[in-house]
Amino acid sequence: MKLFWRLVCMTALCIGSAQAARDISPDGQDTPTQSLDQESEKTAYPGLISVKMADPSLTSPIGPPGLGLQLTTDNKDRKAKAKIGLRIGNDFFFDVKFIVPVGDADAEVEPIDLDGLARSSVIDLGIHYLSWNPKLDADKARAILTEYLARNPEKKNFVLTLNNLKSEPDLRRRFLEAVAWKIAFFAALRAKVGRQDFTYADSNFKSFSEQKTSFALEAAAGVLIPGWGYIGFNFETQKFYEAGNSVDLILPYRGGPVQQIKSYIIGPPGKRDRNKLQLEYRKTIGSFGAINPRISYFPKDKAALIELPVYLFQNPDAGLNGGINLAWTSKNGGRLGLALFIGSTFSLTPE
Amino acid sequence: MAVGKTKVVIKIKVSSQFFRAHIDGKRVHFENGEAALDMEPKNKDYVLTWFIRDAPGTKYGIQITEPDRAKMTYAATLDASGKDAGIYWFKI
Repeated sequence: MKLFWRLVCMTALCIGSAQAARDISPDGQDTPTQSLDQESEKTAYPGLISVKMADPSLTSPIGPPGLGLQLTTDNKDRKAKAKIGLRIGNDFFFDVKFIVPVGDADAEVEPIDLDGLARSSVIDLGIHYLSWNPKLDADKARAILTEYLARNPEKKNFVLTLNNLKSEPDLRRRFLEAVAWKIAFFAALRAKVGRQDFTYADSNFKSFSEQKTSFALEAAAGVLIPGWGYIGFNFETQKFYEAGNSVDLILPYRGGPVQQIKSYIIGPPGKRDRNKLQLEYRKTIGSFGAINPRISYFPKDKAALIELPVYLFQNPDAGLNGGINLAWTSKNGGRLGLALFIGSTFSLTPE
Repeated sequence: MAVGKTKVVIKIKVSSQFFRAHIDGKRVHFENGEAALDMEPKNKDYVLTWFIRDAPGTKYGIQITEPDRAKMTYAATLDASGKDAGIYWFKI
């Protein structure tokens, strides 16, 4: 029973792996949004891969549907994460993230992102809403098509798209001018439940072990502005448990003259609560990189956190899917952190 | 299907949140990647437009499978701009 929560999350990660493997099968079966008839599909979309991790470093409350796995690591806190996304209707999206800490983090060192659930096995549920209504001037497009066919009379079945106008830069520019991309609006709600093991000793150095449940609620909203990128605001409130301080005791070894040093956490974990206000920005930089800077403030702790995930690694099929994350927190006189993340494709709001 | 109307079936293969399709400026709503619309024949063309924004390298597709005279298929991979938009005129 003690390991139940961790097992649930690990099982979910395995299921996520299997799902990912299934989704990238060449025939494209079982992806959440596919539905072309199979005959047409093979001719129309050779090599089309619809699996896509859609949430940068899986840390944002907003992300489009998709499925993916991610492993993040720095010198203290390593996590394995899986996400499954589902489209509900045309404007709503639902996703579940399973997050499991990997390895033994130092319980005394607070995670640099001040996440109270950082060392818990977490199930994270989210629902997202997107409003977006781009327009295309059909009359201008008709004139562009007429001119294209006059230049290329052999292409009778030509479908007029931005992508198909690569060979005619002037017509492509005119087509772009005919499109009004419009501002997109987002909203999201997330609920997280986490379980964590704690081991501690009482004043008689008798050892105890117990599991605690932590909770978090998160709300987010943002806009995608054409030419600028995504700007979002997030609020999160957490109720979590924190281990007590560790002490080193010098004790006789088996009652003999030799002494040993033993570390104890004295006293049970304490209940904490924390609120976070966060501002984030997302933007791709050409086709070779993307940034997702975030500034957070924790009113109760009077602490600030600045993070700068930079997407640098390319996967030929999935696009930008890895990079480094620089972080700095003002707490405890200031700490700097550096983490690698791999497996998560930058997707939202490419410019 | 209502008398005098023609069934138009549009299918998409896209995992992007940022995808929209319209016919004559009205949004097309998809269920499991498919929209079946009962549309009245008219002398003028219907105009199908679609828009997508996502990471460079993202693949997607759109297709009209019914009626025969309106059939079309389009699939693409987003280039460095991370955008694509298209327009298709058809009669029923």
